[in-house]
Amino acid sequence: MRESTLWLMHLGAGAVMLVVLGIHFGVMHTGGLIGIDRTEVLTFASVEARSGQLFYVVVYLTLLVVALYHGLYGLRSILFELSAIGSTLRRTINLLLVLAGWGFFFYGAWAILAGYLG
Amino acid sequence: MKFPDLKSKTHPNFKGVPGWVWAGRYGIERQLYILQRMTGLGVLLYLLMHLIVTGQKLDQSSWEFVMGQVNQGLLPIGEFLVFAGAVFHALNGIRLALVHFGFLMRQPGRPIYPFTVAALGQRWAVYSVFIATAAIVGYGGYEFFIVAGH
Ligand code: HEM
Repeated sequence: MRESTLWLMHLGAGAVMLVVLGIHFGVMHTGGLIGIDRTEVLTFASVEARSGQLFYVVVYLTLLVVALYHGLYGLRSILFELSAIGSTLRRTINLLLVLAGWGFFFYGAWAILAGYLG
Repeated sequence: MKFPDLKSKTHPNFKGVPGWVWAGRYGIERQLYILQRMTGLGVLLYLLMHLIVTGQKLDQSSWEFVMGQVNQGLLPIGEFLVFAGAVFHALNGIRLALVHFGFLMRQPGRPIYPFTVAALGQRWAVYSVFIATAAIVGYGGYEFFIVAGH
């Protein structure tokens, strides 16, 4: 894929995150504004109740994909900007980041879906 | 066709990490570039740990054990700093995306005395990022430290 497309996807992921990370932070950190009790939000009952709702499954799966892509692509940009990095090292970094991305994706998606299916 | 030899006569760019951490006495936008990267890397590190921690939500005793662990010592303060960093990163990210696509750019003026600095025309966006970050982090801090008593 062209580098400019990957970069546009990085910015696009940021825009999607404004919505889904906004919902996540809205619930977890500023929930008082929408009537959610801050002292309850991390109890097992509350976590389990959210895990069973399709709305949160969609929000968390989306957040998982876009945050992993945006964050790992950002790390790659920073590493590639160091001028001493040659092409073999670049290919190795690409491979490691792609593997890490898929690894964390499968782990996170498993936790989200297993929580939903009970 | 023969091309002229276009070898660079300047030093190769080998400044590496120190080069982007300290570029010289530039404006505040240049310093925010470092902050954007540092908060981005901090939030990425947190995201990966957060995925492992919240993966324990499938079983009540594992969840309660892990929540007890992350509530010890200075960890809640660290968690709040990640929240503050992420809020700044997201809001500054909106500013950066607008600049990237040219929306906040001003027309440069002719270099006639008294000189004008086109970059100052978008300074209001930097102040807006600071104010919005302070408001959201301030409210989050109230919930985190006062309501939830961390
Ligand atoms: C609403 C949420 C977010 C928005 C709007 C956003 C936006 C941005 C923008 C616009 C950039 C600069 C890209 C460029 O100039 O080329 C950036 C960089 C970065 N972001 Fe985010 N971001 C968000 C959340 C996150 C999260 C959750 C992470 C970590 C998982 C993250 C990690 C990074 C990293 C590591 C960079 C550095 C890339 C570089 O300097 O080239 N961001 N972000």
